[in-house]
Amino acid sequence: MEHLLLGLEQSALGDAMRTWRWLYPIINTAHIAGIALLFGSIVSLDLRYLGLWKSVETAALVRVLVPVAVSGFVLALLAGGLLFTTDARKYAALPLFQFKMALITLGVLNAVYLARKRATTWVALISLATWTGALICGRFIGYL
Amino acid sequence: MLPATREITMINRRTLIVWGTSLAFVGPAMAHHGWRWTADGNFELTGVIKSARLGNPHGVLEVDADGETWTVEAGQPWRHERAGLDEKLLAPGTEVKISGGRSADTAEKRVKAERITIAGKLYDLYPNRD
Repeated sequence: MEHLLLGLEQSALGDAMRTWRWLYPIINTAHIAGIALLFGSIVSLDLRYLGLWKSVETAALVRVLVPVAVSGFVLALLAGGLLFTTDARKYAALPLFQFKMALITLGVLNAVYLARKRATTWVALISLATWTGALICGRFIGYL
Repeated sequence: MLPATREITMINRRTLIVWGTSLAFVGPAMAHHGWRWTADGNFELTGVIKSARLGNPHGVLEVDADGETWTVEAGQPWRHERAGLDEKLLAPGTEVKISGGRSADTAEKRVKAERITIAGKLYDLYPNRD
């Protein structure tokens, strides 16, 4: 594992991310944009599942917000992967980063469950908790 | 549907006033951006480099000063380039003098570097400060 992490760090990609002036801030911005799309969509949908805006048709919300959420997730994931290469070993060993990854995994599994079964209060609450938690962890990485 | 010409003028003037006043706060806010965790005044640290990494998100040095390991926060690649600072100048064992803002938390050995002196040469990361 250490070998893989070191390889990522020392790759041309990792080097570019660390040294080029504009690449890092652009990728960082893309990461945030992906998170914004993902988080905004998920919170809106979860709140609907929890009973808010009962007059609004759930199917319509799903049709709009799920594609937006998935697109945001993919964007955040790709950008995140690039950010990771700047200091792969440090991030991999950071408990806060590990926790963020665990929360994202739970969030995704929960979303897959929701897609296959149906929305319940528990599913919506787990969704809110995992994605909010991941958001917080991600931001706090620079401050702990 | 566009509002009548008179309404547009009124909206624009009000909008300008709001924007103008908000922007006035940007200057002072930016002056302290990045220094929120530091104590006031200039702090100096002399020691030996243990490790140095200058790449994005921002540079970090580990400096051994009298047996204590200090973390020195540096800038982004463009800032180092402008100051003439390079990782090659910060090889382990190099003696350095760091001048900048010390962490307000006295238990934490962390400094935000504003100026770095290596072999008598000054590398100014923030020429507009102090």
